[in-house]
Amino acid sequence: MKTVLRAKDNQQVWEVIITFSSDKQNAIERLSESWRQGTYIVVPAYNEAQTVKGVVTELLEFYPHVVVVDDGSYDQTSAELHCSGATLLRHVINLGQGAALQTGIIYCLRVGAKIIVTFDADGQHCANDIARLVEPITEGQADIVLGSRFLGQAEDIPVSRRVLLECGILFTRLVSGVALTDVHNGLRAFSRCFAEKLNININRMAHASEIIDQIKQNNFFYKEVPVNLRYTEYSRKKGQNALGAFKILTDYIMERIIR
Amino acid sequence: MNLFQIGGLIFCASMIILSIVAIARQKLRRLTGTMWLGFWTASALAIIWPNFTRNVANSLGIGRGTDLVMYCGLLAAAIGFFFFYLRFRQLEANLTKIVRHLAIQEARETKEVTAAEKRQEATSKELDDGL
Repeated sequence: MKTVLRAKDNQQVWEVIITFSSDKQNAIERLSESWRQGTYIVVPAYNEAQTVKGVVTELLEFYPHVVVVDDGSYDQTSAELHCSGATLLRHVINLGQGAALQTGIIYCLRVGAKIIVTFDADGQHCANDIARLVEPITEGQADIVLGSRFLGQAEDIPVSRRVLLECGILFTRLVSGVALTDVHNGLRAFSRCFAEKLNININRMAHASEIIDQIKQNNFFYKEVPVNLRYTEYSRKKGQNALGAFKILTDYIMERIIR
Repeated sequence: MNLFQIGGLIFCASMIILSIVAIARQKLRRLTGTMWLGFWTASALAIIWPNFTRNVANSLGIGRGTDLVMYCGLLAAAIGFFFFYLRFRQLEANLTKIVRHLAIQEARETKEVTAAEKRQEATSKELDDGL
C-alpha cells in the first residue's frame, strides 16, 4: 500500500512516499488502542518550517498525541503548526535539541504519557517505524528501544556521515560500555519509567551520548530495531559535519568531567 | 624607588584594601578573598624587592623569576577557567529551567483557553438549538 503526501511552498515541492510493508502494517495493527492513546511523540524543531507540518501530518495519521517543541526558531515553524492538531511548546530562546527533548519529555510525563517517542522534524524519520519501536516496550521486553539505520535502510547516506557515525559507535562502546549499531539516531522510544529517571543535562547535540550513559548507569533494558532513514538534500544540509562532531565530543567530555 | 614601583605599590595597596573591605562586607567569599589578598601581597613584595621572585624561583628549582611568574599565571588561568566554566554551566542550567517552565506553562494555558473556548461554543450551540 502506498501513500503520497505532497507539500508545496514557494521554493520546492516536498514529496514523501510512504510504503507500508505487511510487517510494518501488522506492527501498527498489533498496537492496542490504549497503548496508542498513551504514546506521545516529541518532535524537537529548530527552523524546520519547510518540513515540520508534513512530519506532524504524517504522525497524526496514526498517533493522536504529537508534541512539537519549537526551540527558539526564527522562521515560521510555530506558525506552520497553528491548528495542526499537535501540541506546541515554545522555547523563547534557542537552547539545543537536548533541552528541547527534555522539555517535551517533562510535559508528556505531566499529561500522563505511558510511552514517549522522540522523532526528528526534518523528515528523515518514517512514522511507520514507530510501532516497531513501541512494541518491545508494550511487551515488557525493554525500557528503551533505539532505532538503528544500520539495521534498516539508510538511503543515500553520505560517506563522510557514515565515517563519523562509525567513530561515534566505537567511542560509545569504549566509554559508555553500551554496544549499539547506531548511537546518534533521533528515533527512540522509552517507557514512562525510563523517562522519569532520564535527566538530560547536555542541552546541545551530545545529549544522545548522555542518554546512552544513563541506560548503563540505571541498568535499563534496551533494544535496537531497524528503522529507515531518508537523506534528502534538505536533511543533509542540516546534519552534523566534522566540526559539529568535534563539538559534540568536547561537550560530552566536559559533562563527564563535571559529573 | 622608581616611578613604576611607586605606581605599582599604590595600585597593590588599593587592591589589598578593596579585598579586605569586600571580605568584610561579604561581597567576596573568605577563601576567594584570601587568595586575592595573597596575590596582591605577593605582587607588592615583588615590586618592593625585585629579586623576590628570583629567590623564590631558585628555592623551587626554577631558573628565573619570570618563569615562576609565568607558570603561576598559567596555573591560575587554568583554575580560573575551570571555575568560570562550572559557573557558566550552572547559569545555563538555571536559564534552561526558566525557559522550560515558560514553555510548559504557555502550552498548558493555551490548552485551557482552547478547552474553555470549545466549551463556550458547545454551550452556545446548545442554546441556539434550544431556541
